[in-house]
Amino acid sequence: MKHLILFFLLVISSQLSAQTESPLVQSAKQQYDEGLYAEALLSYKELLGQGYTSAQLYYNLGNVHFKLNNVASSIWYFEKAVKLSPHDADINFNLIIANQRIVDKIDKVPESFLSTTFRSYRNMMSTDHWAKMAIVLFILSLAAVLLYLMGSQAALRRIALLVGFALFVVFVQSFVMAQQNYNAMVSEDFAITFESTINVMSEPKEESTLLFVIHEGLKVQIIENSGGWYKIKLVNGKIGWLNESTLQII
Amino acid sequence: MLLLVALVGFGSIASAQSFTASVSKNPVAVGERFQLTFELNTTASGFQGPNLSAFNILGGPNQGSSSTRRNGKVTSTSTFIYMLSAKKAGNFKIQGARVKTGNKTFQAKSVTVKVGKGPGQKQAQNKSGATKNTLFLKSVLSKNKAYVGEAVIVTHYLYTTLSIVQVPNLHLPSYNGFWTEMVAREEIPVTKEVLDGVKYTRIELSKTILFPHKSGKLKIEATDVEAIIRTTTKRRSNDIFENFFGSRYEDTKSFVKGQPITIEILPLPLPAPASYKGNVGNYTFALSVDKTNVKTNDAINFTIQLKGSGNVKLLEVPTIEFPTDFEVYDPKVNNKTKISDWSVSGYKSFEYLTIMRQPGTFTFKPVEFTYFDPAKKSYITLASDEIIINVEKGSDDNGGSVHTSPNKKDVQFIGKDIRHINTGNLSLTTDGKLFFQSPLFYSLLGGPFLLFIGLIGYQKKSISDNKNGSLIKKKKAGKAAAQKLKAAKSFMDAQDSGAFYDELSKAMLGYLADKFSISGADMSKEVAKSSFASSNIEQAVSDDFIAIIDECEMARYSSGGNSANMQDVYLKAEKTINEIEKQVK
Repeated sequence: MKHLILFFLLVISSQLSAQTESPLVQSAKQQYDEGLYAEALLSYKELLGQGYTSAQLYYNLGNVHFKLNNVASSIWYFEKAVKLSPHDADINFNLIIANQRIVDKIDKVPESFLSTTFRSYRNMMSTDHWAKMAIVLFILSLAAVLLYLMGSQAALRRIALLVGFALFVVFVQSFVMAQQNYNAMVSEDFAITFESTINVMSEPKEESTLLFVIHEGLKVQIIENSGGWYKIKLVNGKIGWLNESTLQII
Repeated sequence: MLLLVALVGFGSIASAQSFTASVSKNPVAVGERFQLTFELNTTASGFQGPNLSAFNILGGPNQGSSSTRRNGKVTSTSTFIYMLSAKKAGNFKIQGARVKTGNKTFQAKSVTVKVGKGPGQKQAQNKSGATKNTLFLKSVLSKNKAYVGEAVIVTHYLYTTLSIVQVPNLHLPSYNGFWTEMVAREEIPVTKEVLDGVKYTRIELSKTILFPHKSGKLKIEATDVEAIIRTTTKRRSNDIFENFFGSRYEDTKSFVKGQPITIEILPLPLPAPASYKGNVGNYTFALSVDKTNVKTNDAINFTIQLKGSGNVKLLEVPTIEFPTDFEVYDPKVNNKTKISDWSVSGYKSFEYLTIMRQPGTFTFKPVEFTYFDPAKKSYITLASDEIIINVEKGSDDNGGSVHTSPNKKDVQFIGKDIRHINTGNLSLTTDGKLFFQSPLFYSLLGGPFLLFIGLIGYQKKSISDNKNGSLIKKKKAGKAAAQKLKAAKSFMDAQDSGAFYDELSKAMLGYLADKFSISGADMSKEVAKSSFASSNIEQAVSDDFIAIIDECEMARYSSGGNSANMQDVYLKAEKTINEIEKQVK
């Protein structure tokens, strides 16, 4: 049984660390170091074009765009990187720096302590880490239950039942965290604005009333999509419609 | 002589107190202006007018008084003048005028006025009263029909054949329904004009440009004026004093009331274009911008200029639709109006100072200006050219954030750079290779679970298998015991007492174990007894069974059993097992 679990874990880790070494990575790094940001951008884009993704790739792309003064693109890539790797300190730091460069300063509606704590707990590990943890916990809890069912000593069986129950609870929790992180990762609920001046209207049409104006590089939440228009929400709770051409979904 | 003096005195008093009424024209035509004069040759202190219900009172009563020095005596005369026009044809008696002087009241004699249906009564409306020695007001409109918002000029003239010293009290109408613009005069224009063969002095009292703001028949109320008229009396050669002091004159205050006039104001034709904002007149329109290629934070000036004739002061200037994010300051408004005799003209300009903070190309839609031209009786729309403004990023690297960053809070990171790129191998994976929710993930969850279920199932099965085994054993216990007893009997026949008792003991104990599912380890006499008791086995049978086992045990170790004993025990054992088989169902 133990061998079986070890085998599974080995399979998982080998699967996940199946990484690719590409000469492009090295050349892009060199170009970046020499200040040839436009060339570095092309190299990284080529990697993207080859179907590769990773938080680090997005992070480097964000850096290149930042150096090229493309604030909106830079934020967009940093946000994409954060989506894949929410707990990465470098990504989060650069995202903050990039956000200093945008025009709009919107005060966040303060989040409740609980939801902040919950999110930071959830972001402690990536989706796959939570998923791996869930599997290990699941196997362990099953083993404990088996021990309970087949054990001969009453005291041992009682302990096994308690441990098995506890492990199962932690398993469910890990699974939920993985699911939540996964949802956040695949969701298309957020977007970055990509035009220097964007009119946010009261209705999804040009003739409607202008509610407010936002600018390049702002992260907005997408609530609804209707005929080429997005209903968006800002972090301060303001809601309006804007043309879909002005946004890029993260 | 005294009598004569008294008579003269009386006569003078009598003559001084005559109160007469006269009309300037008799007969008159309907609508024709005429003057009704009451004259009292003394100072009047109270006047009550006659019943004039059959006439339109155009003016009056205008009270005049004059005093004449004659031979050292002062004679004063009071006159009350009405300007009237007849409403309809017929004979009308004017009576009932009273005047008070001192403590006496005089009643004037009645005057009968013949009113005929004369021709030219329309003309008479404005031109009547062309009698000698008269004074009248005439209001002239530049046009009788005008559109809403179109300039109409109203001029009030005072016509007189007399010499007018002063016009102290001019009451202009309130011009309800009009927006007015007075034409300021430095000098009062006075002209000579001949009306109906009479030479008049025409004094322009006021000239006003009216802009009607509603349609319909609008009435301009009557104007009234108080004029001081100076009459020079002829010199009398025999009066030394008068010769010496020069000409004599009389100043008479005269009140004149004009006629109300109406003007027809036409509504503007419908439908009006969407861009129409109520401007009427004739204009030119220009929208200009001082530069079209700028850098961020540069100032751009937009100027709208409207020139032409019409109500320039109240011109509604079209708004420029500035793209959002243009900082637009309040416009500087320039306004200049020139009022000529027949029109108001001028220009109005709006100068907008704007600053763009964001780079980009901004297209200004053409601005439309629509006005109604009363001369052409149509709406005219003028449109500006489309303006394209190119805003480049200013020399400052931060571009748009220059303006806003000082307003930002939490700027602790400003000036710091981003962290360096990840120099590792970037952990590149191909798209969509997430472990979570992958088949592997689910199989890793499902596999152990199936294994778990399998293990539980296996255990359950083995337990139930055990249970089934003891049941079969229970059923077969009697048979198994019988077989063993048979084997024991063969040992008994062979006189092998040791093997016999061994086999018998095995048979008994095996039977006991199978029948009551007692495992070998737990086997003891007590367990056997309690098993018998719980299965309701008779005490005697139970005792026999125990006794047989005891006997077997004893015999196995004493090794001195004989065949009779063996026969005994054997039968007893057979009997007991049969008994138990019967009793246990």
